[in-house]
Amino acid sequence: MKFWVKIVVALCVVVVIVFGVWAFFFREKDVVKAYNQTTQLVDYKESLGLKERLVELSKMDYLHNEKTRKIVGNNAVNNEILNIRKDCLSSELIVGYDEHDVVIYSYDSYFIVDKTVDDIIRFYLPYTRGTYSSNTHQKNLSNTIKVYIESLSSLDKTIDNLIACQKEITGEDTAEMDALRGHYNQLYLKYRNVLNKSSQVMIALTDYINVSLYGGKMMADSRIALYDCYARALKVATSKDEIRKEVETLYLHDLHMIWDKMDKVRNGIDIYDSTYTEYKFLTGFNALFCEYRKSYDLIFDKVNLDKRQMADGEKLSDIVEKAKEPVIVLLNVLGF
Amino acid sequence: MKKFIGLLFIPVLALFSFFGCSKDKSAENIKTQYTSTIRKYYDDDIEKNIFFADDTNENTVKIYYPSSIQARIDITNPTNNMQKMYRGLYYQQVVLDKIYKYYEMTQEDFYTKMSSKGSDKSIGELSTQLERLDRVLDEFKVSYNNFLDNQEMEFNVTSYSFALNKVIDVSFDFIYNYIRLYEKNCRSTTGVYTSDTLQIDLYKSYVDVAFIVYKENIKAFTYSVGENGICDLSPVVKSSSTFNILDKLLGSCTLSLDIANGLNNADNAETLDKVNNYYYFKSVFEQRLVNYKQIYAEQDIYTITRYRFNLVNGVDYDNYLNSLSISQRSNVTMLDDFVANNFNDYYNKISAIVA
Repeated sequence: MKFWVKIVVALCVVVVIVFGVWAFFFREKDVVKAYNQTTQLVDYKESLGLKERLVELSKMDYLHNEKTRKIVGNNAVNNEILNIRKDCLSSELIVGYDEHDVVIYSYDSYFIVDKTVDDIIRFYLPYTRGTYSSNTHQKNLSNTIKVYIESLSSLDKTIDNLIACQKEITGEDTAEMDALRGHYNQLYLKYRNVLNKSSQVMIALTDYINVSLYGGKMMADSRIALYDCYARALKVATSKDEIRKEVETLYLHDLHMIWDKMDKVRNGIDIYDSTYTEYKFLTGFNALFCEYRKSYDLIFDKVNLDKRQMADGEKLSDIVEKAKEPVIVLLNVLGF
Repeated sequence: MKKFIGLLFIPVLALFSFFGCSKDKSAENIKTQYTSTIRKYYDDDIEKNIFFADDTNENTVKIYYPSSIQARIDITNPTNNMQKMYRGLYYQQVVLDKIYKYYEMTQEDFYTKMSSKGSDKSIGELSTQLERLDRVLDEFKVSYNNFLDNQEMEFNVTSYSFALNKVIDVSFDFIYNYIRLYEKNCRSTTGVYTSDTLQIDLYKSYVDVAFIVYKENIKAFTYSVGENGICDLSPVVKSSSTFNILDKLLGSCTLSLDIANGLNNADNAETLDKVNNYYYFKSVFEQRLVNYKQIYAEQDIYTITRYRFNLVNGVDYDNYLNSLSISQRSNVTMLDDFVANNFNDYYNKISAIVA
């Protein structure tokens, strides 16, 4: 080999080594990775302007940019559209009654749930700068954030298409309304998927914070405990393979019960009593969160009636013996 | 050659031995050092500590001038700016009082137990902190003397207050290190609550309370940087802002008799519930405090404080928050949230067990 070739090879080797050393010392540290990714997520979602367009869509209850052409529930297609609009966009609590006008369920629209999710993720953001090693949890958080961002992007396009379609059609043709119904169904599915992915981000965040900031010994306060319950209940409500509206409604009803407790805590209203004290609730939550995760997850998978029976100390055969008391306390504090 | 290399090692070994040994301080050394340092708080001429607490009336600040003139300023309901400034000084003195109360109540036990352990490197850091405290007190005494020489009371109180902050900063460093050593070496690990251990933990809690009140309501206000700094405590004293937590400093330090008696009675579930709550929220507070300190250090706390207390014309706090990026806003909100929730929860649990 010629002398100058050797020199070039040697120089290349030196450059590669120097670059490797530089990359090693200046690589993004794990400590800031989770914080940076969560910040990017929050900024990305804000930059999409989803909230503003969903508000715009909620006010757009008419076709073809003509406010007089309201979508009215005079046929099955229109009714379906109106129901999806209510479930996805309503700013008020959605309430269902039986034949005797007794309330049988109440739940928040996806839009309201989404706002709660934003609040929770922003609450967690400053806590994502732990110093303990937590590679697995960091990777899990990265993955869930990536998938969540993809789902947001998909929802973004769906909203664009839906608004364009609604502005374009006159509603005089059945095919037009069928197409619009298709867009609304897409909105429903995509929004549902977004919420499901967001629940996974929230769960990954608490797991990451628990390990990276508190070395796996996080002491939850009421808000963190309720936020985590909310995330798990949301995951279940939006992850049933076969979407059956009546089933989802009941899970969303349970979700709203947890939201109600969160709201009370935020406003300084006591949610505990002499039997189910704050101390019992929090120590029980810590035990479920850190030691009896399977039992903890199982609670939210149950339907409302089962949850109420478990709160009464029944139907606990699936629960580990030591987790039974914490499960009862947790369900009672949540209002079941 | 080998002999030459061997010779080279001798001075290196000597240096290692010299520096290594010099850091070994005995508990007795620290005790003496502390006593001589703390003596600087006293003015030999008047045989009083150099702060302005009035022994006979806690509602007044009393100043002893070299010309034997004494000035008393009523600070109970400060109405004018000067009274508010002196009320601010009073709060700074309360912060120091909370810090050293823990030391005073535990020192005997600490030195007895640490002496039996012999010389210990881990307390060398305490000695270094006392040296720093000694230097800061020297600087502070200059401010103190200037304050007394120049009898324009309103004008001079700001620099005095700023110098006092430096003393407080160093005192917190010292006490937190001391607490860490005390808890590591002198606490029983049986996990059984007694009224004595609970009382000592309460003193620790009041150090924490003083720390947060100092950070949130005192330090930023008495930080002076040219025209943009916040110069004195008058905007926060008696302000009705939700961010004003100065009153938390004035809490009692004593365990209530009901709780002390209840601890001896295993069946007293109500007592245990209150005590358990206190310890649980103490742990939560201590966990979150680490994150609070980190974010506090990264934020421009002086700017934040100006908006919090409406010191910037035309822009209220909510508008200021909205002007920040979401991540910055989350950080500032976290600081507020820590005080409004974690700190307040902790304080409420303390209130449930004190007289």
